[in-house]
Amino acid sequence: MADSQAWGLVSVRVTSPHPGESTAYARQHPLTLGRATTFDRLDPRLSAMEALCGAVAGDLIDTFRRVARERRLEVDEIEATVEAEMENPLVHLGVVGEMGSPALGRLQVKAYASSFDPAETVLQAWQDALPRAPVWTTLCRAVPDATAVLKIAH
Amino acid sequence: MGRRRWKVWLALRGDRRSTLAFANFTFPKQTMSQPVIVGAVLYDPKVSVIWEIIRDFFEANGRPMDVVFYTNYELQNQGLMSGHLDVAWNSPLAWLDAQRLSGGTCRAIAMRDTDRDRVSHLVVRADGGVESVADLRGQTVALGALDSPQARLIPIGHLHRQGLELGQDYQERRFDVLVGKHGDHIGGEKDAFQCLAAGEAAACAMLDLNWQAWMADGTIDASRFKILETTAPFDHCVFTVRADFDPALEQHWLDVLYGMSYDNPLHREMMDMEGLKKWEPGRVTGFGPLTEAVGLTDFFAAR
Repeated sequence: MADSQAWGLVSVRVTSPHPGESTAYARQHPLTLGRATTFDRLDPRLSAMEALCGAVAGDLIDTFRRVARERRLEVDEIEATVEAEMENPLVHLGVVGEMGSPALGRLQVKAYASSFDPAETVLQAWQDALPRAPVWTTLCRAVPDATAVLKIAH
Repeated sequence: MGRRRWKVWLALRGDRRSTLAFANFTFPKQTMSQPVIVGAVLYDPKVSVIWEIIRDFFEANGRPMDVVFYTNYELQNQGLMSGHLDVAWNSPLAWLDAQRLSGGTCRAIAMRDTDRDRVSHLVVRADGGVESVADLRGQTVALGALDSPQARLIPIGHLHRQGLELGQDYQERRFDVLVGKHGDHIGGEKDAFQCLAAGEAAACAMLDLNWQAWMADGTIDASRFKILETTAPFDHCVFTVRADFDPALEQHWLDVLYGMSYDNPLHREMMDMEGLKKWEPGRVTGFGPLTEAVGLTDFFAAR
């Protein structure tokens, strides 16, 4: 495969030394994950679903910062909260008689940024960032109810 | 995929047709080294955490155990009767159903201390003008789910003994939350209380533990509500096995279960999550009020 055709390729190696734990390595950087999804508030590890939520927020924030920089907008702190809801988590647990899918049915990203630039300009940058964010656009195709909003504080 | 695996896969999908196919499957005789398979009905994913801790406790104590979750007790009892399960954590209504399905041959082998001698209360508004059961004549009583022993069936039986018949002497306002889970989910019971609080019913029914918990957390204002009547004591959940469950395996499983001690901090968290301080032997003497109510309402025939 020519290099030009591999630009979009992302490769991660994952090992699982113990039940309930796996580590993803990308370019020597490790990320330890626990269960696929967890219902235990005291679970010591990030679940794959939680990592996915973190990934989509990180994706949106970084893409937004890129667009803002291209437009010479000054954006200071950014923070995001992500709320994702599985359609039927009991299916993931293998509950006999449950129907449906454990896929996400709803995904809501709320980002907060501080900027002294005009709010409408910053919001336009956010809107323009959305179709450029790879994780967000991927999930948008899969999740029926997906929203991402930005609120600006001056 | 071989025939045997195919049938197992179909059963785990849980639809009625495949469960019937599953009933034809012949399971190998259980041996001491094989895991004991325990069934539990799951009304909330968080409950799976409790069972995982219990499973790990059994594993750590040399008694391998697997847990299979079911969406309702009817399916779970099918799993017990067909031999897929060795032990079913049954609601009191599911215990009666297991006895009905097995011709009375199932055994109740263990229960929580808190499953014994429960009661339900009929609760009224302090200023609602209901001072006796007779005052409920012609009124609406808010009840829990169709199949809730504590919030519907046993209170109906209690009112019957007091001379009031459902549909004739009083009407029910029923809150069918998660029917099939036998009232495990407190949603219906809480909705019934809120119906009473809103003045849309003259009384509601609830388990004594919920009365205590809701008084403690402020859900119930003690100055506005009072207990009108209390049912006869009844027993609640019970570990149920078929008659042919291997006695040695059963004893080993029970030895590990009874090995849980509330005095051991490592066990206490698990026991607090499951709501008990001690595991007790199973008994069948506490199902009288529910048996009477099931007969009165012709529950299984009507299902």
